[in-house]
Amino acid sequence: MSNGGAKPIHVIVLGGGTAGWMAATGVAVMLGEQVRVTLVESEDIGIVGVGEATLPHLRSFVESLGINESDFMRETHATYKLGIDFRDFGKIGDSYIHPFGSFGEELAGISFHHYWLAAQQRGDAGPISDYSMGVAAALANRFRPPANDQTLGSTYGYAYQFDATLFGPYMRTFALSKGVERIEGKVIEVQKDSETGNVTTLLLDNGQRVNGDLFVDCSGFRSMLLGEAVGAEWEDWSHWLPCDRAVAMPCAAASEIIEPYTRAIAMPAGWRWRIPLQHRVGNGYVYASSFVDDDKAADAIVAAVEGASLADPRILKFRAGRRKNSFVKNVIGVGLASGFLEPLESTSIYLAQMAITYLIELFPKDGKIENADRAEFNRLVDMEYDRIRDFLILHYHATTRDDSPFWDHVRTMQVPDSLAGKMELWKRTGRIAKYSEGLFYDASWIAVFLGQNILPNGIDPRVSVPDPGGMARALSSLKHAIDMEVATMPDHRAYLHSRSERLAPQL
Amino acid sequence: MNHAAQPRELPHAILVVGDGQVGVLTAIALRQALPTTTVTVIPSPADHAAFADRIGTAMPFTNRLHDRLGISEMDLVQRAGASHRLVTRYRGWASETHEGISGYGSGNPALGNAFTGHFEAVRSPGRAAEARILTPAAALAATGRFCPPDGDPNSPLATIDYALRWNVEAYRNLLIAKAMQLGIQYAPKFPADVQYSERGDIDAVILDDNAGAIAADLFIDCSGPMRWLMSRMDGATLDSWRENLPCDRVLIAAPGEPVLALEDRMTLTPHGWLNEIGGRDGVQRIFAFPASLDSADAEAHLIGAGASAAIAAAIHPGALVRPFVGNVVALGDAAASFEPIGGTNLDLAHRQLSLLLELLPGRNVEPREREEYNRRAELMASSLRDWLTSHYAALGMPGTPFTARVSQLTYSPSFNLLIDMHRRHGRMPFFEEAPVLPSEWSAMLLALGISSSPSAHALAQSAERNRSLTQQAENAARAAVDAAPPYGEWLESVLPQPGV
Repeated sequence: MSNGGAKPIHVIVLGGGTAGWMAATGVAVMLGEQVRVTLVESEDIGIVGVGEATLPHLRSFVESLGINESDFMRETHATYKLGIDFRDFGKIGDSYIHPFGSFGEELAGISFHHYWLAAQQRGDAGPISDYSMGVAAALANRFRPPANDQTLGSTYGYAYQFDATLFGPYMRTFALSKGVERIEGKVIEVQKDSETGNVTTLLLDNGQRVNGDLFVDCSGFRSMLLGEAVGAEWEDWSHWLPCDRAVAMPCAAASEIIEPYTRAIAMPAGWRWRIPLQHRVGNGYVYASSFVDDDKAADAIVAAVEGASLADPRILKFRAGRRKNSFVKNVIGVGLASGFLEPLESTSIYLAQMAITYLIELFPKDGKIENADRAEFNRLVDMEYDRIRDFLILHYHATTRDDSPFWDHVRTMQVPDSLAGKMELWKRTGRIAKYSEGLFYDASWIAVFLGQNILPNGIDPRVSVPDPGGMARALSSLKHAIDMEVATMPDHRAYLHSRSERLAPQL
Repeated sequence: MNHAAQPRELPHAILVVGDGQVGVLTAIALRQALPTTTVTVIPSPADHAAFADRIGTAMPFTNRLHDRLGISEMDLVQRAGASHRLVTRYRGWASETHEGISGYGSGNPALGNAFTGHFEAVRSPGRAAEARILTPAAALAATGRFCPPDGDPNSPLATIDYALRWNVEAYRNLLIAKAMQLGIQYAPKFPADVQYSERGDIDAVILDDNAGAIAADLFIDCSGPMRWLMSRMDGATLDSWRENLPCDRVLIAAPGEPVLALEDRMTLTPHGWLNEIGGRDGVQRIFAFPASLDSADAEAHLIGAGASAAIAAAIHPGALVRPFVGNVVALGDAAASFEPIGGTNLDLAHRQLSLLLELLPGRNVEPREREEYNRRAELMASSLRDWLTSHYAALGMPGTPFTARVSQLTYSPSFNLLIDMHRRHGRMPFFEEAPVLPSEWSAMLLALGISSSPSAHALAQSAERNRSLTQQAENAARAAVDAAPPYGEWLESVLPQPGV
């Protein structure tokens, strides 16, 4: 529908990284003729482009833009992802998968894990992972898209593991085809309206002046518009999430097996990722610089990778926290310009996508921004960040590790009250504080609590009612059904290779 | 493993105070969840403002709860006079001649929210009547055709959700029969007093007429707004909704003539609102108004609508800040008392009961668990309050006594947010534990004549796509009408034949 010939709202996106091109594409495609979208980027400024693992939400974003999945997978060298394998977090030697999916099924209104905990005490149950389709398929290195019905085959979800340095450029090509204008140049000055304080113009090093109505700041950690120009204050969370650097190093795949999951392996001063793509494996060590120096961290990742290294270790710096407001004046921060939470649960791209989605929902149609829209945007962004923050802190705090100063710190630190309350509820009753908006619901919390050996003292009283023999049989038949279903799934590599359209050419 | 995850000790005994349809259903639910626990029900003194007990209708949530408790819808149709409400018709809210219809469910998921937005975008006053037919529920209600969906996901009726209304006495008798089968105890004595434990919990309720005392681990207050148990607990404080809701007087008419309709009516008058709830055993008419207005005016509206005698009830609108205190849980009107719009009192009671089943305490109440219950119950109550407030956001009858009272209301911040988002962006924020789906809430605001402007995203849709969505919606409505028999015929086909 045309907007009746009204002048389109000119949206300027600053920064051509993943967030920038996602924002430009989203706004241009979703809002059509109501907007004119210009993205300013400089070839001289590198992009972070890590975030190689994603969450299932990305699928709906890509789909709603009208992007073909195979095309997208081929161009970003993507593989399928069923979850994350966390190793050595609760204690050294532990391993558990946090799947995109659930464990067992609710019975008589009581969550599965209560029955499982009771059965396990009696020695009648295997590990909780035996009762999750997502986990079982991941461990078997098998993949098939979930069924679209009520069967066992529908009880998991999937996301992608991809080359984030290719995702931004892929979105750029797509955006340019959708009419987004790209301007090359470095911003040397940001001009504001003296009366309203709104940003009016970006002055570039090539002398160009870029005027706009609405500015989306995707300039990364520098937060050139949101932080510097309109002064959105930073809220620091590094006392809870002390990791502030990562050293990344891709390597060749050392085996034919492509795991349909990401590994997160705890390290003496943080953790390292291992993300299998189509032809290589992404690796990196996320660490706290106050507990290990850069050289030692680089040595550690070099020592840890399995295949031949494909690049020198590259160090990235960051800080956990977020701007107290991400929509100030006519500036909206998306991605790192707005905040950062370390990639332990692959939330970076989700956070950018979330902000873009809310921006589109609240988009000022007539160009006039109401305070209520800013407040609502900021309320939603806060809610999303706070929930993820608590969930990430849990991964560090729920540990018995005392083998390094880093783990001593996170094990003994005081956590936010909101998290302390959730942990206390779980420990006393085995229940999860419920919410239905934002990320990480019951199943995710249960996966991490159980995976990191935080067992409740008390569980639902009703699980003592059913006959234990019947319970044991039900558990065993569920495990059997899952094993049977997984056995019918193709190997991940085989599934990936079954359609050449989604395969990148071998480099 | 460093902890032993043991099931907590089961409650030995639970006492439910209040033997209306809320109390009996609560006892059934608890007994089914805890088959080794002694569950006892005692009556509480009659309370005219116990709307969840006195009004025979709820919302779609109750159907799911009934299913779970093994209370079959067909039983309710055959033995409790149940019939189906697909939509509510709002009359006179936005103007004297205003009519708007809203139903339940998320609608056709293929059409999505973008379509709702578009629908508003292209709607013009002249086309409003045509646009209404775009939902299957409204089309069915208008043509008087319906039968409950049979579970086939491909049926044109599959996406239709509905509420039931029933004969209160027959429904309660049906529940009592089930309660007796389950071995629920009944002591036909009013409570007289309570015995406290050292920490201030209730140990036992002493019965009237020297009939002894009933000890229990957990006490459920289903006594209505008198809060027979809760009023005896320290820490049970009321969050008043007087500033947010206009009505604190309610007239409930004696059941009228039988009405077989798939829609109920909510009519705004100069003195308050009139809710007419269809029923095979007689229409239920309810009139709510502010105490500052003359009850004779209110009665005149009821009589004008065809009602005879009415029972008057006074309420103090508000909700308990913590409906779970010590070892006492308040459900329904005991937890929140408010003007009875469209079955919401019983709906709230049932959603609270469901929450209690989800977080069912053991013999000893865990404070954290009680806190979680109260956190979620408070979210339920506050978004219900906002849902009720929605009715008064844009009254179109200036100069009436009722409008004057409504103009003094204050809105909660969350209500201001949602109405602003609806108006400017065609968007409904998500509220945890809300009584209705966001799509149902938007539809109700539109039915009340509170218009929304389309979101930027909706405006961006192509005319071609919009035409195709409109076509799909019209087809879906037509297919629903084609697939459903006349409702009366369906009822006859399932009701027991006389003399057989």
